[in-house]
Amino acid sequence: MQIRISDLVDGCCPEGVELGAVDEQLTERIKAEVLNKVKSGDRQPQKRNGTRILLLAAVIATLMTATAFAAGIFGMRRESVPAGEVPSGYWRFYDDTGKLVEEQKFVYPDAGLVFTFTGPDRPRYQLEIRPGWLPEGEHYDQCFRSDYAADGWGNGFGAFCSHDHIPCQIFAYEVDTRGKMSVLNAEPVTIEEETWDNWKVTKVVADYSSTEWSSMNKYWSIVNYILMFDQEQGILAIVQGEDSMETLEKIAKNLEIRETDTPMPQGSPRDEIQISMMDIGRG
Amino acid sequence: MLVNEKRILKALRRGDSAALEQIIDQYTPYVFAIVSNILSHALPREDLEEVVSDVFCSLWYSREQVEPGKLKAYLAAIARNAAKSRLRRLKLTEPLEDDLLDLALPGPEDGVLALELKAACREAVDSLGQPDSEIFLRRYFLYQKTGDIAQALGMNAATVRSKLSRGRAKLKDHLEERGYGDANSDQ
Repeated sequence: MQIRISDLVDGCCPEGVELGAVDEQLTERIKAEVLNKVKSGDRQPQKRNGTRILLLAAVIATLMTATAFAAGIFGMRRESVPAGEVPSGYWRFYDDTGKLVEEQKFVYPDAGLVFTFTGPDRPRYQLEIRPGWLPEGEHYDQCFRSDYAADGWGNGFGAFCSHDHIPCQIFAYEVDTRGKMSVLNAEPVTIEEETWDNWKVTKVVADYSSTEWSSMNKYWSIVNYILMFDQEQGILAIVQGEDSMETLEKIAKNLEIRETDTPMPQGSPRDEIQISMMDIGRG
Repeated sequence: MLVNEKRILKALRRGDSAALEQIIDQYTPYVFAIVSNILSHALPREDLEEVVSDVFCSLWYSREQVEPGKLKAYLAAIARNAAKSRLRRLKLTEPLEDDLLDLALPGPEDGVLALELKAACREAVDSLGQPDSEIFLRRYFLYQKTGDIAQALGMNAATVRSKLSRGRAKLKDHLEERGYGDANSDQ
């Protein structure tokens, strides 16, 4: 296998080396553009043309390379839940004066995996996805496309079939930066990690058969998850469902993601959402 | 390095944009040089400037992660990643023609292996001694042309090319000793 030396040395910055000539006009232009972006909080200004918007679009098909040792800026951390331990957390909501107005506690005795993330500390924008490939079949033909624009972009995807089976769901969002835990309430049967260009990929086969959920849900027990984390943008895309891992992987590798100009709906700046679930069929 | 990097990073973490301005004043030439070394063969100058501004925006948005004394290396890492990411996404060619090494590896997905491999690479580069290790990193970390390296270090370009060739051979030997080599390589 061929590997790039430039990738191998990516942690070897030669500290003492000075580069570049002072160019005051360049510095002033950069400064003006950077300050304009960070002060307005607008990381995707209207003046950007289509090409630059596409730079944020992650067309991940065919991008798996032999040189993909990208040193990411952001991170996705996965931890197994030791036997006997039960992840828990809370949601706390505050009013404008900072007074706690509601608190909900959550306990997840079936959790097998916990994920935490580091991402960009900046205003968050809604992401849109567009599946570039889907299997043929009734479930996929009748997936909820009502949210979709005519060009196929939408803010989520779900293929459901009769008897509550869920062949596939797709989501993408910018990860929360405040230490929120995302739990998978099942027993991980297998976990594989891969790298697809900038994407750190975790493939999990999860077994729900021995969980509390299985007593309420009689329709599925084995669910496949493909978590794709963009280490440069702090974006998490999840392709999950009862379809085979091979099918989900093909969907994932043909998925397009783009960032819109629409800010994420915000609660009070003080609201704390400490824990959430990432299982299919549950929010 | 900035005179008082610790103080400036503390202000940056507080969200003080004046600290960001100081960093931009100090490091724009450095960041622009890295981005230019990687992308100037493929993109016009205005696009390079956009990448540079994105680097400083990334610094702003990830300012909690920068450790005092490591700002320059952090900026260099962001600049390299941003520029190389732009190359990959536009499917443009890499700038270095002598960058590839044949190794016996199971695949790029093995993160543990990648870390071990990089550690072994760092050992090999350190063992080159000065000025060879600096020449090697100017070439493969900072993407400088051999002529620019020669000029910066007061050498002729042939000497730099020779030292780079020896560095690549030594890196390959070092990695082969650790089981990563490929006997079929003609590198």
